[in-house]
Formats: sequence, structure tokens, C-alpha cells
Amino acid sequence: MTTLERAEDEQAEKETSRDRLFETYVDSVYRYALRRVSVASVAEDIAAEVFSEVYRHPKRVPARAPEAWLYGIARRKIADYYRKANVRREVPLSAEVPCAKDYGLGALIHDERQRQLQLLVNSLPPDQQEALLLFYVERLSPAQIAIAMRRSRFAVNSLLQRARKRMYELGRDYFEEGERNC
Amino acid sequence: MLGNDEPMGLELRKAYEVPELSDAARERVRRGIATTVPSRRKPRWRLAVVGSGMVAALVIGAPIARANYLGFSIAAKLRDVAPFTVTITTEGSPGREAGQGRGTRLVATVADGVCVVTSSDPATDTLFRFEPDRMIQFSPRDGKAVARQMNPEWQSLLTLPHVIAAKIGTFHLSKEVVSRGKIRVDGRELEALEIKADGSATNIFVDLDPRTGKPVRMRFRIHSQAFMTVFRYDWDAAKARQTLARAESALASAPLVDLGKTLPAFVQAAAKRPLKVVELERDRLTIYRVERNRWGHIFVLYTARGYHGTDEERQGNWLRLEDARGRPWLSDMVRFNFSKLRIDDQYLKAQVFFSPSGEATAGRVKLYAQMREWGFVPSEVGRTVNEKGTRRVDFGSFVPSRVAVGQPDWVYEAFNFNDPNWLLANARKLRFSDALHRRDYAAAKKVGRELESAFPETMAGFFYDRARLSLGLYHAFNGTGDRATARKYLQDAIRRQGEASDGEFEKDLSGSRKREGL
Repeated sequence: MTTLERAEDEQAEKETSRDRLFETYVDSVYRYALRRVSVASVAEDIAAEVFSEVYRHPKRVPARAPEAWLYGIARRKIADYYRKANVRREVPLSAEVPCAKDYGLGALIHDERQRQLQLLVNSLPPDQQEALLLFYVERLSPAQIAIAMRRSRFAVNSLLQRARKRMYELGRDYFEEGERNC
Repeated sequence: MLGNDEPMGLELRKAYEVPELSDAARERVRRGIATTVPSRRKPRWRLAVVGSGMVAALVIGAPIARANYLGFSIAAKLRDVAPFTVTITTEGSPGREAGQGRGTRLVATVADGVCVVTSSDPATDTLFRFEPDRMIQFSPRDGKAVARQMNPEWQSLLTLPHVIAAKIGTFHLSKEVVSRGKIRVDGRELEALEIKADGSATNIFVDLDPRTGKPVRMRFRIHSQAFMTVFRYDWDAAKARQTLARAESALASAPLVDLGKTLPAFVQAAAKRPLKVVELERDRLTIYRVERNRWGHIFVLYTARGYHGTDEERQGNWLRLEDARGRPWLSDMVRFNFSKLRIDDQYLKAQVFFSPSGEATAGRVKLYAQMREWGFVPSEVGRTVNEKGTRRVDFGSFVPSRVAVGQPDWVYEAFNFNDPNWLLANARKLRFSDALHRRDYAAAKKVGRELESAFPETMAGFFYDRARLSLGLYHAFNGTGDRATARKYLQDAIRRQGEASDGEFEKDLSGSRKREGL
């Protein structure tokens, strides 16, 4: 095998692995972004930026736990988005159609119980919200959350415990009602 | 720690359920194409097959890195269709907004018959050097290569013999070659041109001698924050230029549309979704036509009947383009203020100029300067205060003084990007404006005098505008001790306003005199 052929093979392999990464995680990254920004087009954009990082810096993609790494990037892109949105207040002419209207999430939003739950989550400090949603909704393990949030695993466990405790404290009625319905 | 399947997890998942990524959206994400974002950068693109063996791609409103990625992705995907020249045209700011003035550096290097054009991306502060078989990423500070990497898609393109013509843009006009010397890359000494920015957005064309590969000419083209990179993989420079011309021409066609009708197909293609003109003030505004120039700037020519509105109502004077789903297509519109236009039996005729990349500042200055030259006199220049509390001045309204109503063609006849005098005038005006903003009064005075000698008839209005904007002119001449000249211009500006002036200018001027202790 010539050097050129070997280089081509390596290149093809890298390309395949990036494509695989994209196919495997694009949905979850997109949905994570959508949950946080509520606008489908913005979520798309964030997902695109996350994967453009993969293409730009392929060597940075960890062989193990790439999912957590991707979530970490997405998390920072979302933070960037909100930070820039604050600076550029005069930019939008009118609000974009939120995903709730776009995709029938209106039904969810109008569902009283779910709205109540979202309000409960929103009442938590940002880090606790993040950890809670990454754990329960995105189903990341505490170790993966630690990578995504750049915290130690112990810190994540602690965040989760506090978040859960506070959720149960604040939403006692909510959860008791849930148990009665069950 | 409980597992995430406990009841709270189930409830949360239900509450935060969101739809799956659609196939179309997945493809957009894969290609890095975002159709809408609420920021000023909304990448859009279109492709055109230009003649035989050439594909032109227009990317609008994307940061450079992303647009390059996208452009090369497109090229790579199309390479089986035709062996081509890739024209990547990117309109958008490379991670910065107009007026921030941080500048961009460009280094063009030539070595061993291989033209290497490298540009720095302010976001990453990285230079890229393209060679036939590789791309080198190196530090712009010391020229030392710090990394080597090659996107496979790029690699497939760059295996072609040589890059001989290059256009690189998103500069500010007064970027001039500030140094010419040697840099060392990979132990080799390369000729380098360093260009710095401090004026309006410009395209710099680097023409290269096909025999030596050295740059023989650099041409400038002004437009609003546009970025263009063209790589031609061919030895024939003349042919390369022809190809580029064909590409630009193919990307430039712009049919006219009337109010209420959908925008031309090419605009729709750019946005990848159908667009329509939305008129917020239906009873007051009439849009004659919407046109797009070759750089993707949208021009809306409209008229408005005399309008007396409150400040709140004025905020509604936006022209808006939306797609079929009601999402704004272009978020950065130029607002016109009609509140004090008291011409009930006439039309206000104005041209809204804005760039799809959202970099409207240069566009505003350019438009204003152009309208002055066309003979329009501002009846009043409105100003608004943005949310950050910084004063921002709009153009205000324009009363047709020289051009008769009902001759819409004047706009397009007069607007000539290819006229070197026009370009030069605007370049100087923008440099002047920037100098004022930088409080570089010596530079302002120098450019102002250049303008005065070159375009005496237009200067009064121009000075009026500039003075009204920030009183910077006043300070400029004040700063250099040439108060008499400043007064002369200001008085001349007031005189030219005549009846159209509502007195605000004088009021401001007297206020400034008090402030300045004059």
C-alpha cells in the first residue's frame, strides 16, 4: 500500500467516524438544544455549530464518552446564544415562531401539570436545572454530566441531590397529586 | 442516587418532550446551514452552474469559517458532477459587527509558483495557507506553523495544480498594504503583504502573474461587509478572471417585483424558502420594487405619503420580509422615520438599503452619501436611542428635490458600484466617518479636505449629516483649530436645508456651542 493510499484510507476512516458520530448524536444534541432555547431554527443552528466543531477539531473528540463532550459543547453554544441575544436586543423584528407553536408543543404547554413541573424546574438555580435535566431528560450518567458541565462527579451528585430535594420540597402538592392519580 | 427512570424522570421527560429532527433539518444541520437564527447572521446560500465546468456558490450571512466549510462542502459534494472552479462568496461578518473596527489582517504569500492566500479569521486568529496538497495553519504573529490539518473535502479540491487567483474580502477600505516583507513558514521564506483595516468593507482582489505566481495588482471593491473568496485551480489567469466574471454575473441577475408579490426566485432560493414582502403600514407605504444587487444587498424602493406619527407609531415603520411561515427573513432593517414629513401632496421616495448580513452601518452611510449625490435633501434626520442607551441616528426621511416623482429608474441608474469615482468618494466618506468615530481628528480633517476638493457640491450636505450625527465634524475642526472652516461648512449646510430644516439642527448646534464654550 502506498503512502497516498494509506493516507486516503485514514482519511476515509476519519470521515466515516465523524459521520457515525453525527448520525448517532445529532438527534439528541438537537433536542437538548431545542429544550433549552425553544426555537427550532436556533436549535438547528446550535446543533450545526456543535458538529462543525467536530469537523474543525476532529482530534478533540474523545474516543470515550463523545456524547458528554458534545453536550458540553452544546451547553456552551446555548450559553453563547443567550449571551449574544442579550447584547443584540434590537435585532429581531418579531419573535420567531417558537417550537411550541411549530410542533404542537402547545398541547404540552397548556397541560397544567406539565407546566407546573416546568415552573418547578425553572425555580431551581441554573446549575441544578442543568444537572437535573441532563440526568432525567437526556439520561446522561453523573459521570457524563460531570464532563459536560466541567464539574467533578461528586459535585454533580451533590447538585442532583439538592435539585431533587428542592423539587420535592417545592412541588410537594404536585408529586402527592401524582401519586394519588397513580 | 436513584436511577433516572424514577417517577420524577418520567414526568420530566414528558414535560420536556420535543419533536424529532426532521430529515430536512438534519440535512441542514449536516451541512451547517442554518435557515434562521435570531442573530444577524443567517446563513443562506444558492448555487449556480456557470458555463461549463464551473459552479458558483453564494453563501450569505455566515461567519467566515462556517461559510468556507459550507462552500467547500458544496464543492466537494458537486465534484462528481463537474470539474469546476469554486466561487465561494460569503457575505457576513467574520464574527464581529460593523463599526467595531477591530480589523482583519490579510497576508498573501507567494512561493515557488504557488499562490498562497491566507486570511485571518478574527474568531480564531489563525491563518490558513493553501498549497496543492495541504493546508497549513499557522500563527499570524510570528508566521510559525503551529498545526497542519486538512479537511478531506478541501484536500480533494486542493490536489489541483495551483491556486492562481484569489479574492479575499471583509476588509475595511482603508486597509492598505502596510508592510511588505518576508515571513518564514516551514523554514521557507515567503513574500508577504500585510493589509490592515480601518475603513469601509471592501473586497480586495489579488491578481497574480501566472508565470511567477506573484501578485501583480490589488483591486478594491467596496460593499457592505462582504466576504468573497475565490480559488481558481488553473494556471490561466485571464481565463480565471473571465470565469470569476461569469460567476458574478450569474449570481447577479435580479428581476423586479411588485408589492405583494413574492420575491424573485433567486432570492427565494437564497433563503431556501418562499418569501414575501410584508408591509406593516399598508395604507401609507407603497413598495415599487425589491431588487438585489450582485453582492446580495437588497434594495427596496418605496414611497410613503405624509405621515404624522407618534414616537411609538414610528417604531412600526419597518419594512419586513417574511417567509411563508411568518419568520423574519432579514432581521436587520433600516428604519425610516416619517414623523415630521409634512408633504401631504407628495410622496416620500426612499430607498431602503440593507445588507443581508445585517451589517447595515456601512450601508447607511453609503446610502446617505449616495442620496446626497442624487440631490436628495434630508428634511429632518431622526434619531433614536437604542436599548443600550447609545444614541443611534437614522437617516430620516428624504424629500425629492431634484428627481421628479414617478421616475423610479433613477435609483438604479445612479447607483453604480463599478464607477471608480463613486467608489472613491464613498470610500473617503466612510474613512472620514470612521476617523470621526475614532476621534482621530487629524485623519478626519485630511480625508475631509480630500472630499472637499473632489466633490465640492456634495460636501455641505455630507457635513451637515456628519455634524448632526455626532457633532464630530465640529470637534474635528475644533480639534485642529480650524473653526472657521467648520463654521463655514455648517452654515452652508444650514443654508442648504432651507425651508426643509425644522430647526433642530440649529438648536443642536447652539447647544454644542454652549457646551464647547463658543
